Amino acid sequence: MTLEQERELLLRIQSDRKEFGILFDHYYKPIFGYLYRRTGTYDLAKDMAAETFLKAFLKIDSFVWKDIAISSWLYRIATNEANQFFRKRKYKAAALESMVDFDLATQVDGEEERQALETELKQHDDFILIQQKLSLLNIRYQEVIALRYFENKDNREISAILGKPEGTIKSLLSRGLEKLRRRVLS
Amino acid sequence: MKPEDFEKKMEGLSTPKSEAVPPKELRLAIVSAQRSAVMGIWFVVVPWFFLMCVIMKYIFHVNLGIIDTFEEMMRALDKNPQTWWIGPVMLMGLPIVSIILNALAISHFKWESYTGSLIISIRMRWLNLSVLVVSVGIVGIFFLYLITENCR
Repeated sequence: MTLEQERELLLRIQSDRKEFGILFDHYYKPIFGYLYRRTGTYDLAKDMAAETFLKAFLKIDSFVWKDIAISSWLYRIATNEANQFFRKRKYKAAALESMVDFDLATQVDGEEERQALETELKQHDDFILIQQKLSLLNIRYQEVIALRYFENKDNREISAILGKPEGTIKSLLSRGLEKLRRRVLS
Repeated sequence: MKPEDFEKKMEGLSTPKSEAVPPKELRLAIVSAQRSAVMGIWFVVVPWFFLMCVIMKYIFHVNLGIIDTFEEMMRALDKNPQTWWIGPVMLMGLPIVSIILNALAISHFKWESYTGSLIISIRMRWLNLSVLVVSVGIVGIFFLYLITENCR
């Protein structure tokens, strides 16, 4: 979706809330994927994605167009959701397996999807290790590294998502990577 | 591993693609499940402890001493017109609040206007369910006690 298309969609949503469904269908997959790669837990990512879109739906009227993609705004809300979760965990080490909640709701719906995603995740040993070690770092490093290396966003996009200058993003990435490297090697 | 090698490794990191299908509806919890479980545990700690002491004393005849102090304290609170409500609130009120919080945390309600039916689904969060069962048990026991005491 181009910026112009997003702008048109935003105007349509602001006049008719039902149009939000288009935004939801278009961005659910990347936002869920981002949250899943950050948390490593299907249920958690699903809950956070739901919260992200609920917050977006409630705040879309106050969204003022400043040539920043709506996707960046959605990523910002999702990042805040993920950060909130990691802050509560106070950076405690947790194996991805143990992060699986008690929630068995997906046995009723989405079980196949959950199994497929978990099977796929298990095939990425390096990613699991990096994700675990990353969750032990300070939030400000977690968010930039996840957006850069998990989501393949460039510094300009990360800057738009986090609302920080590109220079700050660059230095956070550099320091964060070094801290992550030490964690991985330890 | 050198920093530059690590950076290269990160650049080429293979990530799970997570091909999730957008759900037809979003199921949002009415209240936070984790917070409800934690609050529920705090709300039932005192009544549960009181109940355990009573069971130990009157059923297993093991008097831990603390139950007498507890009973005296409850009696004193009950006699005072200013504080009589503390006992019922602590032993019945808080577990009832715990039941409500944990029930809302795991339930999802959906009204289907075209069929005229209310669909209630329960999420199997074991911690919330456990707190819910303990709370219902405590309220049930105290409720039975109140009925039998008042019907004598």
